[in-house]
Amino acid sequence: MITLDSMPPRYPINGTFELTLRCNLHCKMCMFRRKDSENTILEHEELNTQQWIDMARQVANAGTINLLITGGEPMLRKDFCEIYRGIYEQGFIITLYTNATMITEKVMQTLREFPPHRIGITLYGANNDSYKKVCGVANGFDRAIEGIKQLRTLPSVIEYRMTLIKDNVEDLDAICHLIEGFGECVTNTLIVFSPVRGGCMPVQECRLSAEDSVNLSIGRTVSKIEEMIPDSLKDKVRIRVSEKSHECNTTEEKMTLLGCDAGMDSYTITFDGKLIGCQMLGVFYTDTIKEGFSVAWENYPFEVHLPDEPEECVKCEYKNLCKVCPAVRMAECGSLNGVPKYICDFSKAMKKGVEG
Amino acid sequence: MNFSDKLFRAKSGFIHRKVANEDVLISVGSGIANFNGYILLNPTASFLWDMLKEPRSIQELGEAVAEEFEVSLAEAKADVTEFIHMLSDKGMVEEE
Repeated sequence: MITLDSMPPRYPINGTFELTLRCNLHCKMCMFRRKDSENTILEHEELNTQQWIDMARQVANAGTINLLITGGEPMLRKDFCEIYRGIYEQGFIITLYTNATMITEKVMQTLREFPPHRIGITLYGANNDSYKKVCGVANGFDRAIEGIKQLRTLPSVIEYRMTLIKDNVEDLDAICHLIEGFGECVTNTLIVFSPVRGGCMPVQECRLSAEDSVNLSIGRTVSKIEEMIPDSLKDKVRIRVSEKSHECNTTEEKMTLLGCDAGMDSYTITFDGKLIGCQMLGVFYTDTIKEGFSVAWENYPFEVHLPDEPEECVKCEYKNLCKVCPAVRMAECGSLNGVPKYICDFSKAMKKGVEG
Repeated sequence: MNFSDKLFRAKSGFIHRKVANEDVLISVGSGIANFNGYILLNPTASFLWDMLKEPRSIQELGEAVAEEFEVSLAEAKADVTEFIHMLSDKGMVEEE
């Protein structure tokens, strides 16, 4: 049996700095977004400019190499450029997540001098109407495209992501076409989790059903493969979707805290200075402001107390296809040992899709 | 190119850091257009990169390596020359 005493060395290689939870958009499917009426309190609780720069110094000394700067929308902070520069100068492989709608000349001057290694841009639709429906802003698409044009002048690698919900699923082809015009492609998020950490958006009303999501995913993947098959071979080739084997070739046990790398080699510093293993799961935390980063990192495993996995999940026939984890249980059920129906439906739809 | 009578200095665009007890060079600034990532350094490379903050000759670097790592001067100079060649090819050092 593996215990905390036998835990292998943990190195905080991958960090996330959540500069703010506030956002200029009001996306229906956002897991984190709070009510606008909470903005004043949230802003008051955020670490200040010097605290973030000092945090960067601490995590660099502790061995972090990959650092994601995210939000909310990080550029909403008035001191974004000062914080960003202070972090960058410590020396990390920087990834910056943004919705690209707040790219000012001052931001571009900073990013030109200190270009992120990667920029992750989230898109919400293929026109202003979709942005209005999904994000509650009238000219969001135009602003995002203008921002993307500017970000593309940087030497950074740019990745595009889109979360599909009922209001923007029809835009998928147009978005793919647009981004393919830049010589890039879009990563689609199909599993949309319920709000976490006090989030308030109506996610469950706007997300696609598990079955629709899976059918869309499999259908598009098969279509893409079919496009690659020459016409002369089309009647000779049959595409079969199969289940990925979960058989393991090794008997070596890997110790985790939450079933993944969270808290083992990765962490998030929340807007108010808490250290959490996974940005989705706020119930287990240590306090970097009181303890400093290194002590908070060392102490984090002692804060993680997971109940046993529900019997229903242990015996489940769809276990190999299931994407459940403690953070997902918490998001969907409000408890660490709940059985999330949405995820069960996903697994069942995947099995059905695989069996064809 | 005759390297022996030249002085070399590390170019800006890299930050030298410790990560999980390893020395790494992280590419930063506009240089990420050419190299977007980090380089793991062995102890000798790490020692030399630190020395190259100031302009140095192959002779100087060789003598320092010979003393620090207890190898012959000839061996150290040969290794240093190869290392400087590699850095020069990658555009990571400049001549003074």
